[in-house]
Amino acid sequence: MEITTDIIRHTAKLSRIELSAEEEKGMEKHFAAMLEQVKTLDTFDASEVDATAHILSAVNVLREDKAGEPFDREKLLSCAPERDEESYIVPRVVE
Amino acid sequence: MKDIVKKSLGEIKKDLAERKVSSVEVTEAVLESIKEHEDYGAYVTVCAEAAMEAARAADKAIAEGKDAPLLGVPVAVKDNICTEGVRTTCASKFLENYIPPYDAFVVKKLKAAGAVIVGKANMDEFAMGSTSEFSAYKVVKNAVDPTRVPGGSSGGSAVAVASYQAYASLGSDTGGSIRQPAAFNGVVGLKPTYSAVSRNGLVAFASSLDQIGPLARNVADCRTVYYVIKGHDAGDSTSYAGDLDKGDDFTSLKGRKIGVAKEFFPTALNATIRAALEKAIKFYEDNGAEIVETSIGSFDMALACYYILSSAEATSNLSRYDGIKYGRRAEGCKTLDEIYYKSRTEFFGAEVKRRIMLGNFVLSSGYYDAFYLRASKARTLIKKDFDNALSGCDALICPTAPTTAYKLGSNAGDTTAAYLGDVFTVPVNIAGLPALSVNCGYDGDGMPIGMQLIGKPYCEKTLLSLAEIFEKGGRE
Amino acid sequence: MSEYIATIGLEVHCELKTETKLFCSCRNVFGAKPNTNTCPVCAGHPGVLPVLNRKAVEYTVRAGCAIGCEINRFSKWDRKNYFYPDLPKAWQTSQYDLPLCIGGSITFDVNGEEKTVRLNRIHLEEDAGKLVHSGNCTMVDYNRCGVPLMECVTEPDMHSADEAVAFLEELASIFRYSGVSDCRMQEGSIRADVNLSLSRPGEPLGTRTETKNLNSFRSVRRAIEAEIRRQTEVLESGGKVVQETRHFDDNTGTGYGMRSKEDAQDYRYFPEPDLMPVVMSDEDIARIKAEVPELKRARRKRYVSELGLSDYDASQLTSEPEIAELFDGAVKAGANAKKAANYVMSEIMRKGKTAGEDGIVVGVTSSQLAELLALVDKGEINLVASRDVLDKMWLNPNESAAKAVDELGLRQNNDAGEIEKLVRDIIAANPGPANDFRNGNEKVLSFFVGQLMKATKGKTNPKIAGELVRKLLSE
Repeated sequence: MEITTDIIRHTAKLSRIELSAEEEKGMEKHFAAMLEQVKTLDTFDASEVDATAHILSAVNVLREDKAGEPFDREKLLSCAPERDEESYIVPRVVE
Repeated sequence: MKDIVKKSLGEIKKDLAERKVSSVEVTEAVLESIKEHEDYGAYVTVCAEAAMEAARAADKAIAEGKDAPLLGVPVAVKDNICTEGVRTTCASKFLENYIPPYDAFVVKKLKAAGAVIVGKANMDEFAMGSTSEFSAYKVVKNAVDPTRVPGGSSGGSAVAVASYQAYASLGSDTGGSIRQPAAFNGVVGLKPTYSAVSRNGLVAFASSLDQIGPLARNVADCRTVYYVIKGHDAGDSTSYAGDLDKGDDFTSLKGRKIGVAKEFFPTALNATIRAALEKAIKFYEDNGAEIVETSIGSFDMALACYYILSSAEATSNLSRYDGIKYGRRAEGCKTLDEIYYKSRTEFFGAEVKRRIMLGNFVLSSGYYDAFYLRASKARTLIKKDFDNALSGCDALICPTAPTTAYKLGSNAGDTTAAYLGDVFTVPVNIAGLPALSVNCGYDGDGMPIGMQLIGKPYCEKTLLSLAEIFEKGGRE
Repeated sequence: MSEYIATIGLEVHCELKTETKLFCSCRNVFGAKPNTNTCPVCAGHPGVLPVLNRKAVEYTVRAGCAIGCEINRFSKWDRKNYFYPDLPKAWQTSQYDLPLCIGGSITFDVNGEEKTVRLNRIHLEEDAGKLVHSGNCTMVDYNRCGVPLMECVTEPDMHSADEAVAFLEELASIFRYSGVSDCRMQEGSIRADVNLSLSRPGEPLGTRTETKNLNSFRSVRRAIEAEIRRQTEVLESGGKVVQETRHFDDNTGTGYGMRSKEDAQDYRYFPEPDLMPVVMSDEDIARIKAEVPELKRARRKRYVSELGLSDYDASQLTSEPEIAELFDGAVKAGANAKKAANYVMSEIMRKGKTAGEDGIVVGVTSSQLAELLALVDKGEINLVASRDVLDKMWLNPNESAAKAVDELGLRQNNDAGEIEKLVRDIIAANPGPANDFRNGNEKVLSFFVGQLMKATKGKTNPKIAGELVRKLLSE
C-alpha cells in the first residue's frame, strides 16, 4: 500500500497533533520506511495463528469490593493547569 | 573521599553496615560526583535535599542496629518511574512540572530497603528511543566516550552507574532500553521476566512490553537490587503471583546448557562483536557448559511486530496527555480542541509524535487487521519459537546490540536507523522473557561490547549466575 | 401507501450498585462533592494501573442470568479510545468482542399484550465523568469516572415508544430485583440510547439514527415519538434520513443532530494489556445463578395463582422488590396472604413512600410484620393501634411487635364483662342519643363506640364493643 498525505492527515487528526507541510512529508517518509519493515510479517498464514490477546496466562485477577481511604483531592487538583476549588476547568465544551 | 563513589554497591553496603563510613558521607560524595559529571546529562532532576534526609534517616537506622538490603546506599531512578513529591518528567516537556501524588511500587520497595534516591535519571522522552538523544531537556553522553551515545532509552540510568553518580539505578525496558545502554556503557543491566516487577507507577509506554529492572556495575549488585524490587503487587493485575525464583544459584557450569540461535549471529554482524561473543561462548564451553545450536525461525518478524505493538499501545497510553489534568497546557487556548492540538503539538517531541502517529495508523479502521492483528499473531509465533528454543537449554547467548556506542547525532535525518539497533533486544520483550546484558569485551575504539543472556520465565537467578561466572573468569 | 413501521433497538446503561468503582477502591456513591471520590487511578494519572472489582463482574453475570443470557466462559477487556474531557485516560475500558453475557430475552406486557425483546449482549465497562457548564467554562468532575456500568444492547425488536418504555421498565425491575442496580433515573444510574429507523411493511429497514443519553423513561418516550414524526416527515417529503447521532432536548421536546465528526466513530479498539481475562467455570455460573431471586413477573403470577390475590394487588405488591420481599416473608412466617397484602398496601406502602425518590423505604422486617399481623388477628390490638406499633418498629429491626404493644400500653381489652360495664355507663350518661337509637336512628351506634374508644384510649376490641352497644341499647 502507499502512504498518502490523506492518511497522514487523518492519522494526525486521530492523534490530535498538528503537522507542518514539512513534517507531513517527513512522516510520510517515516511511514513508508516502516511499511517496508512490516513486509517481514507477510511470511506466515495469518488464518492459521491465534493472536496473542495477552502475554501472560493468568486469569481472574480481581479485588474485593471494599472502599479504600479517600485520596486527598487537593493532591490531584494541584497538578492541573486550570482548576477551581473543586474541579478541573476547560473552555466551555460544545456538544 | 573520591574513591568512595567508585566502590561497588556491595562494598559500600558493607562499609556502611560496619560504620566505616556514614550514609551522609556517601550521599554527599555521590552528589558531588553528580555535580562533577553534570555534562553527561545523566539526571533530569537531582533531589539533594530529600537524599540527604534519607541518608540521615539511614544513618540513624544503622546506629540503631537496623539492617536492610540497600540501607544508606545512593541509587538513581529513571525519570519515568513515579516518585511522590519529586518531579517525574519522562524527559518530556509535557510533564515538565508534574509532581506525582504517589510513589511507584518499586520506589516504595527501594525506600523500604533503605535506599537513598539521589535523582531522576535522564532518558529518551517517554522511553521512546535507543540513544537518549530524544530527551526534551538535554542529551545524555556515553560514560566511556562522551562524544558517543549512551544508548537508550535508560541512558541516564546506565551513565549514572558507569560514571559513579550512583551505585545502582532503575531503568525500564520495553524493547532493550535497559540492556542496550548497559552494553554501551559497560555495565550490567537486567530486564526481568514480564510481570516479575510491578509496573505500578511506571509511566506506561507499551504496557504489554514494559518492565522495570536494575542496572549496576557488577552482577552481584544487579542481583541485590533485583531482589529488592521484584515481587507480587496486588495493584498491578499483570503482576505474577507465583514462584518468582524458578532459576538456580550456581557457581559451576557443569550440566548447564547454553543455546546459540543462528539468527542472532547474522553474516553481516560486526566482526569485533562476533569475536567477543565467540570468545564468551568458548569460555562457557571450556568451563563445562554444553553449547547447543538452536533457532528462532520468526526472528525476522520481531522488529516489525515490536514497532507495531509498542506504537499501538503507546498511542493509547499517551492520549492522556491532553493539558487538562496535569502537566502543561499550551498558552492562550480558547477551545477544547485548541487545548488538545496545541498542547500535544508543542509538548511532544518528534520521535514521540512518530510513534503516536504510527500507533494510530495501525489501529485505525481499515488497517487494524493488516497491522495490529497480524503483529499480535506474529507475537504468538515468536513466543512459541523462544519457548521451543529455551526448552533445550538454560539460556540463549547473543550480542546485546549489533553495534557498540556510536557518535552522537549519527542518526540525524534517518528516523528508522536507530530502530535496527534494537534487533537483538526486542524479541525478548515480545516473548516476555528475562534477559541480562553484561560486558564481554571492547572494540578497537575501547567501546564496551555487551553480551545478552536470555532465560526462561522467572529464571533470573540462572541468568545472574551465568553472568557472574563469566564476570569472574571470562574477561581478560 | 401503507403506514411506516418504526424499528427500535436500545442500548441501556445501568450503573451497578457496588461499594467501589470498577478499577480502583474509590467509593461509588451519587451526589458527593466534585472530585472527592477520585484517586490517581480514576483520574488517569501517569503510571496507574487498574484492578478489576470482583463484585462488578458477579453482578453483571447475575444480571445476565436473570435475563437468560449465555455467560461467556472467557471474556476480556478492550480499550475504546477517544478524546473527551470526561474521560481522563482518553480511553474507556470496555468489552469489545468477548463480553460477559450474550443473548437472552425479556418478556413483558405492553397494553395488555405479551411482548418479547431479545438481547444481543451485556458487557461491563466504566462510566465517564461529569461536565458542568458555566459561562465560558466547563467544570470537570471525575467522581463518576470508573463507576461500573453494564451496557445492555437489544436486538431491534421494538416498534413503538410504548414497547420501548415497557421494556425499559421491565429491565429496570429485573435489575432492581436482582439487586445489581438501583436503576434510578434521577441519578442517571440508568440511561438509554435509542436506535430507530422507519420502513414500510415488507421493505428493508431504512437508515437509522441514534439518539443518545436519554435519562428518563419519559424522555425515551418523547424522543422516540419525536424521531418517528421527524423521519416520517423527511420521507414523506421525498427526503432521505441521514445516519447520524442525535441529541434530544427535554426542554423543547425536539431532537437535533450532533456536530458530525468524521473520526468520531473510529474508536481504535484493542485488547487492554493491563487487565487479565475473566474465566467463568460452570460452578461459578451456577453459584451466581442461584443468587437471582424470583423476579417480578413470576411473583406477580404466583400471587394470583397460589395466594389468590387480585391481579391489581399482585402488581402493587411487586412494584418494588423490597415490598415483594416483605410481603413474601410475612406470608412465609404465617401471615394470611390477603390480610398481609391489604396491610402492606394500605399501611406500609403509604408510610414507605418518600417524596421525590424513585424507591421506597421499607422500615420493618417481614418477621416484625408477621408478628404485628398476628397480634391484630388475635385481637390483641386493633388496626388503629397497629399504626403506633408500626411507628415504633420502623427502622428498628430489633423491636418486637409484642414488646412495642406492651410498652405503648396498647393491648386491647377483650373482656366482655368489663366492656359491658363501660358501655352501660356511657349509655346512662347519654340518654338523648340512646333514645334516638331506640327511635330507629342506627347512626348513633358509632357515636357510642366512639365514646367508648375515647374513654379507653382506643384499647377496646371494636368488634365486641359494637355488638355490646347494639345489644345494650336494644334492652
